[in-house]
Amino acid sequence: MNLRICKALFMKDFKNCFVNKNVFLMLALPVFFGVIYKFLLGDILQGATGGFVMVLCIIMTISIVPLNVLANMVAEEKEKHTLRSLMLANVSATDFLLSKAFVALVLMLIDGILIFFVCQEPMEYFGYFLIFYILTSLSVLFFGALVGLLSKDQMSAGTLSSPLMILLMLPPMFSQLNEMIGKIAVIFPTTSFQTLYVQLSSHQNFWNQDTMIAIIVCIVWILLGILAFGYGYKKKGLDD
Amino acid sequence: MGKNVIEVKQLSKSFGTTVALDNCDFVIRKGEIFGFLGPSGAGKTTTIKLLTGQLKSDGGDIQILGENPFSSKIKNQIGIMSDNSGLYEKMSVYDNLLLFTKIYDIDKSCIEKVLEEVDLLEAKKQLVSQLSKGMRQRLIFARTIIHSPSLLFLDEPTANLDPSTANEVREIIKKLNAKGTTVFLTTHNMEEADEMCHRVAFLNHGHIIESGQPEELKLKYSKQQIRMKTNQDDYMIPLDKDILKQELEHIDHLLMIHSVEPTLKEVFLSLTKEES
Repeated sequence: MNLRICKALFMKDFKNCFVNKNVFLMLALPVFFGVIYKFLLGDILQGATGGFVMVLCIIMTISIVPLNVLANMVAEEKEKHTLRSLMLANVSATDFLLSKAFVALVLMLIDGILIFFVCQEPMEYFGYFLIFYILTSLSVLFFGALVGLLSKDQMSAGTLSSPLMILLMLPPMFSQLNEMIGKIAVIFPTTSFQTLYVQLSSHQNFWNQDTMIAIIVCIVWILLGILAFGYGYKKKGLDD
Repeated sequence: MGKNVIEVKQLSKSFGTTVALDNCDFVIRKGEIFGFLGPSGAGKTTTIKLLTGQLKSDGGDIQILGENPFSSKIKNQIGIMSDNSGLYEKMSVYDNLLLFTKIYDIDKSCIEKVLEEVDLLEAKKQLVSQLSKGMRQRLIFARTIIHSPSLLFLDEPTANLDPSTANEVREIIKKLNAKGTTVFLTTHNMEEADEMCHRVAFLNHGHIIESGQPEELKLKYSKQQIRMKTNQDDYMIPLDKDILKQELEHIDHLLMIHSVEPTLKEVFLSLTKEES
């Protein structure tokens, strides 16, 4: 890994994210929903507890940014042959993917912090919120990179990432409706974030079986993501 | 011309049952422009990919600047312009090059110098998406040479360019070569190769069928004839001192006399015809 190259690529990608309308829209969407839910539907959602609106928007961010934005960023470089140009200039796959993943993580942090403040969550939770948020973000990040690796262009990245986005978004949202869905939802990191934050805001003892399972789920997803990405990279390489 | 900067021995590469390269041998000396010529699908791009470590060979040995093509030691000493080099469309001309100065860890002051060299200095603030095809090609070229590589790999650098832009690119290549840069050039444009290359190799169906200096090859495959043009006739005679002497004695008004040399294209066509 070459830090100088990673930094150069990070700066380029970070700057380009705000010029790319698709990326900008995907980043703005969860914040926009946060504003709508909090201020326009405030009366309807008044009884909702445990930062309901914030958790909902964060689940959106965790599902969208790594799987859509990161995968598309990787696929775009393949599609437009800029990845080939970088690799011919001695940029390694590690430099390329790490810089992209770091951009996605920073974008997620910006989105998450905006949502936290838009939803007017108590500041005393901010530190814990960041820890839970980074942990769950990392759980999905490697899968986003894997989708980018497997896609040859942006269209195939969209096709591959859409079902995964839905898979991550829906279970925690509907986990309260049905016991079965509730049990299945536990294995998704988006539900883990919900469990951890709701438990924190309940003012009860934080450490219980549910929070332990939530943390274990995140760690397992991170490990599975690294393994899946490693396998995909070994099989396919970065660029055909 | 100095020592060998590229040495290729018994190089082979196949894609499934298709043989792209079959036991190719060649060397490229320091400071020369070497043309790798052949029709589309002959194996030119595959050769460049093998030489620059983008593909692994099935057999044979490649030495680039004394190293294997996958060595990271040589990456900063070579420049590669491939047929599918991409540019960042939403970034300016300057920013595209700035990124590569950071990657190569070189001073950004060389951006203006290289832009001037490819005549793009005035367009430095323009977005790449606003550039014409010729300007893009020149920008890709600028990016290829920004780190002053000692060895350049150019894959069809003038393909799809209008004649005037193609000429500009050729002039830049010649200028770089004059400064000491060794150039490995693939093209199917025989006139271009004739004009630019010190040595050429003809590639057909993965085999090198002939190589040498363009002039040398044209002489070797010349039909050994002389064209005579008088005020009454235009005809050929064999290239023979006695026949020429005899002929000149009979002519009253000679307008033109010169040896008939084939073009590089004609040499290539006759060789591929023989091969098939």
